[in-house]
Amino acid sequence: MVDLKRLERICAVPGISSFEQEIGRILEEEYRGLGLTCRKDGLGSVIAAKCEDRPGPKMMIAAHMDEVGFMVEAIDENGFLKLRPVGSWWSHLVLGQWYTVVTKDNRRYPALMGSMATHGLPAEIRNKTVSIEDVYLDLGVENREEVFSLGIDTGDMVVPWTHFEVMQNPKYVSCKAFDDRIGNYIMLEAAGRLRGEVHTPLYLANTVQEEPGLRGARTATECVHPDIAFAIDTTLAGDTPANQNICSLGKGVVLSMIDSNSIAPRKLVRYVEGICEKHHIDYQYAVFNKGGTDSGNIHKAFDGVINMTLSIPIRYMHTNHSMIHTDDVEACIRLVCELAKDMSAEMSSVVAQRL
Amino acid sequence: MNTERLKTLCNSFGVSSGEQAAARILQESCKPLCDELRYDRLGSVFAIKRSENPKAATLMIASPLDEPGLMISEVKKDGTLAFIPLESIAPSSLLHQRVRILTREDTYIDGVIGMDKKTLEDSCEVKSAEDLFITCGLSGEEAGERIHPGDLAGYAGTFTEQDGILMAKALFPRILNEVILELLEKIRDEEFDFHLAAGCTAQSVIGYRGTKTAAYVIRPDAAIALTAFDTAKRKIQLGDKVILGYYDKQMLPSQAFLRDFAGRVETKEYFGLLGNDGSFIHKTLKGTPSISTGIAVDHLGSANEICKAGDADALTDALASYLRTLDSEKIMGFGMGDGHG
Repeated sequence: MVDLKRLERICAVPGISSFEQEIGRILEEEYRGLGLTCRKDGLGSVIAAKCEDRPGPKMMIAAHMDEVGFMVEAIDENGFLKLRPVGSWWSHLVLGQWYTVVTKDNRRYPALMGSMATHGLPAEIRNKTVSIEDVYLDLGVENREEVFSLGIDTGDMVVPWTHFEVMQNPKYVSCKAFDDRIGNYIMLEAAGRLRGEVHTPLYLANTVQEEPGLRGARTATECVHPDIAFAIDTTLAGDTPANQNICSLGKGVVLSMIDSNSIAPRKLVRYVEGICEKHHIDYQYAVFNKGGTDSGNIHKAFDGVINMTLSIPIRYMHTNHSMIHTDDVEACIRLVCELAKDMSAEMSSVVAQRL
Repeated sequence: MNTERLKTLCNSFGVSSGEQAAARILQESCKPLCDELRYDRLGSVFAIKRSENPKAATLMIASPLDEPGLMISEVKKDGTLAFIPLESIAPSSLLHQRVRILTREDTYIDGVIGMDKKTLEDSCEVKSAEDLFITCGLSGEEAGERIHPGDLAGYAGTFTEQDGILMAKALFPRILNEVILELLEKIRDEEFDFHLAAGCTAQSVIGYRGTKTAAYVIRPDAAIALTAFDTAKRKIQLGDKVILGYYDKQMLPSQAFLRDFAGRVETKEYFGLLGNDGSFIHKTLKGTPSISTGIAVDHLGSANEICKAGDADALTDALASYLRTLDSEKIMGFGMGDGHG
């Protein structure tokens, strides 16, 4: 059963790339509560470890803590905020949405992404989208001085306004930041279910700065030096009128065959399929190489790491309200648990790409 | 030029991440020619020729292990297969090529890339890979049983040799792999005062991934990346023998190494954009002085490439004679520092 209150709590925390301190602190607290040891890498990735002293190959699971958002780049004299995107956004899906501005001392203010009046728009403007460089936030204030008096300054983080909604079919849920807080949630749930179990050394890496370039994946992998690794991220669902591909909400955890920076090794895919079949875990595939995941920097670290990405299908990725299916989440939690329990030195050599 | 071995290599399946068939041939061929074989976890294969010198430097000679290819993204109900190219191959070059799909059972199914146009009636303009699909002559049911998303596909081609002119698929990188084998044969009974690591990097042409992990395993002090240079736009042509890279988008060669090599070997210079293994060898770890060299190829990256056996032989001879001018002191001299005082 997916704990929606806990999921909402994890998704709600504001945390763009390099601003992951608060979500990191919350996750660390949760992991310590479960009895795992925690450490941080040089950039702030939170790495929780379990069964470190057990024999067996080191298994790392990685999910990034950073969500897509903006930074305040400038405040004009009328109090409108000019923004710098952190992570990729399409302006079409940003105008008219509510955002939260977060000050350095964690005060939070709602702001509206401004848009031009629609009445009387000439056709050639209507047919285009605004450049993401030209969007601005409206705090509903009179001038720049009022903005400063709120404690807002350049460099502050801006994230989508949180609105967690359980849809008409309650297995469909919508919120901001499922990419990739759903991964952080899955790892935490798995750690809870593995409590009291003894298994191969397991490292749950909540990485930083994935969106701008898989950076925490590099540093976390350097710290852990795993033998085998799985990144958990989201992947584009193709089950809507706007997008068609082989991946659908509700069909299970996704075995991502490829992303823009890595290919899943065949033997590892067969092994994961075997675990899913054995434990009756629903799974599906995605073949999509226009987006990257932490695996891009994990698999080619050191002399190579046997590594692939497990994904949750998502609609409306990198928008204020994405949508996922709780069956897929449950399938992924179960898969992570079974992988941790099944992995051993013997299994590790089975999946290694030896000639 | 061992044409028979080259033919076996070219005809083997070796698409990025599914290079095992090609790797096995290389592994078997390298074994008798070196002191040990070394691997990384992505599948790279390197032959190590060790020196007796306790202070031996290490020279790495790298060529790609993988050939460009495709991944099946969907098996449709009518038996056609959607795919994504793994490398940035011009989509129009793919139309009507014969491909070979590697199934989960390690068997091969051949197909042809097509589009929903009539070749004798329409203009068949290809704007993107999404205009294309593969057909194998299988029904939807048969295709669904035997082929799956994630399966890899490579070009299927015929290898021919006529008066020293070679035509085949995957000449890039197989002609370079063959040069390494012939180089190892040539220097088999010679001793050097440096270690030599010569071999093939997995998942290289797709993005220098095995290049990084192989460099981590080998820890070279200097490196030569073998690559092929496209003759299009008339900068070079078949018969130009040894081509030396002076610039590409991913690496500026070590000036010290470049000048020494150019001073001792007859070469034709090439300024291009396409990267090679040097891109990740030179900037991985603490930094490794590297150069890129190779031969001219027509239609580089397509289903049908052409090169000259004479150029490959010239490259093998040039490398052998250059190695004889090298010693550990010289190799270390190409470097600028190792991060310590």
